Amino acid sequence: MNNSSIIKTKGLSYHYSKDVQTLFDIDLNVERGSVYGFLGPNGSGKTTTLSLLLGLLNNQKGDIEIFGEHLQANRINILKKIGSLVETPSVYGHLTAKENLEVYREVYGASKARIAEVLNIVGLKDTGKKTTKKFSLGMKQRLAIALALLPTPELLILDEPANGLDPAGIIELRELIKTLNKTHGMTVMISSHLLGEVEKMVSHVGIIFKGKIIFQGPLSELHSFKQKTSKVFIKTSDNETVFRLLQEYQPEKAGEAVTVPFENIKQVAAINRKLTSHNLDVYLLHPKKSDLEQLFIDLTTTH
Amino acid sequence: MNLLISLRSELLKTRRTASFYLTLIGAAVGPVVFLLNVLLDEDELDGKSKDPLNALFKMLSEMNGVALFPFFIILICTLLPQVEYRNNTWKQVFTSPQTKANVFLAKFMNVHLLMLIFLIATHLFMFLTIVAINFIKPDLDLFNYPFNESIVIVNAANAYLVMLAVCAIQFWIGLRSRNFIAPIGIGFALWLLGTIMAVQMKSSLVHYFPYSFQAYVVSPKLKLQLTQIAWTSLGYALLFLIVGFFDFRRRTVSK
Repeated sequence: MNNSSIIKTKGLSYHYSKDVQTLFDIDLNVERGSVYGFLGPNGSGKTTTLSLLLGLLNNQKGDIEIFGEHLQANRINILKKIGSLVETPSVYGHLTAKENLEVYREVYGASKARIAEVLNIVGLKDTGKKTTKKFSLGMKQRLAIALALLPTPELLILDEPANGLDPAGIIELRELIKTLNKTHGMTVMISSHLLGEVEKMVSHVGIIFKGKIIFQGPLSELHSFKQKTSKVFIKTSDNETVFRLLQEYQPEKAGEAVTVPFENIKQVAAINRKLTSHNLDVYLLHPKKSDLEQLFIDLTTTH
Repeated sequence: MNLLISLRSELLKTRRTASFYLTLIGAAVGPVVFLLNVLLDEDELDGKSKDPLNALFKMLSEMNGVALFPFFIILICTLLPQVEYRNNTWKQVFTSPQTKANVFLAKFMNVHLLMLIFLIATHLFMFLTIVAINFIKPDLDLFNYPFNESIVIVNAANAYLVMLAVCAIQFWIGLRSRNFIAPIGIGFALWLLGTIMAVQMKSSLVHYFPYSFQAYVVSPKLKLQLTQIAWTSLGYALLFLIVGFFDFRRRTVSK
């Protein structure tokens, strides 16, 4: 195993029923110190993958190494160093926030002071005797994050943690994850289908679609890929001529328009000059930069 | 040590739950029924006038042994695991660094702790009831009669031992069932069947059917085989505990 890897899976496959394969040969590589965004549309296999990493599902095929140890052989030791939140928050409604944390405090070997610390981190220190069944979904989600932070984990696995949070809560969560990563050195693996949201906090990205990893690497690699897929939409008095004139840019027809990939805005100006110099009336020149959202759609529709 | 940590975790979860309140309320039912009888019926204690204290505790042990204690076990074995289902917390339990064996045993120990609290509390409430009656009707002078505490303890211990089998079976069913009604329905139906079988006494099956064992605590005929039944109950409890654990160990949580 690469020393910089904190999670490494090889050939991970899973099926809930014999006829329906959910995961196909998943090779994950989450580097120590990174914030790894695990992206995919609903039903793509994100939660199944994370459930396998946390031992919630029995591994059927493939290998999982976390902290350089095999999960099946060292499950308890590994779980001691992981904080997790899988989908909906898991909290006891009849207990207060503090009591919920107290339930797991000694299981994780955390100090009493740590409870106050994590409640402070997630902004729930003033909830007093209010039981969590009276909490909003956002508050429950924050408490679940506090529970994940209780063991001062080396690795934080968060499955769709932004679910139920309002915009301010999402911003707070993003800042919290950045702080945990930078200040406390935690490696964070965060799954989401909110692509724009994840883009702002991750250093690495893995995209899963229909149970297969279709992209994995640093965010910068995804950005350069993104740049290549930015396109300018052109409508003129003679699109056929445009198509012929811009052959060097590898144009494509898109309905009544022609699309041409571009890397910077100066190229768009150069294209415009070329078109007008050939006496074409330019009705539309719309440079459309591809965002992660669009790229994600592109990636998941071409596979 | 790790088992104790898991038990601590289970005990903390039980705070302010229906399971905890049910234990205390269930334990009070017998004494309260008796108190109401005495208050509403002047002649209630007449039949017990020669040995009222021992007669009262015998009545309590019969009422608890046949019905209240088995009902309590059926309910508690369902309610305790429901804490995880209702709050969607199984995944938190399984992603925490606890072995499944520790989680399973800690939950089972928690059930037994509540059973013991029930038995202690019901006798304590009975004692308080007697104090109250003595205060309300001082002419009865209840505390001047003999009291055989060893019989009370033996009766309570027997009630506990013969119910070990039912406890292990209901614990297994309660742990694997997301549905709240099914384990209670199954438990009550089997209890009714077992009690009818014991009363009818037409089949030797009654010696092997755990849901009949409560009858051995009260029936003078059946009481002769109480020791044998206590061992049978213990054997069943071990068997179903092992079966329940292997079933629990296979469990996965996907959502």
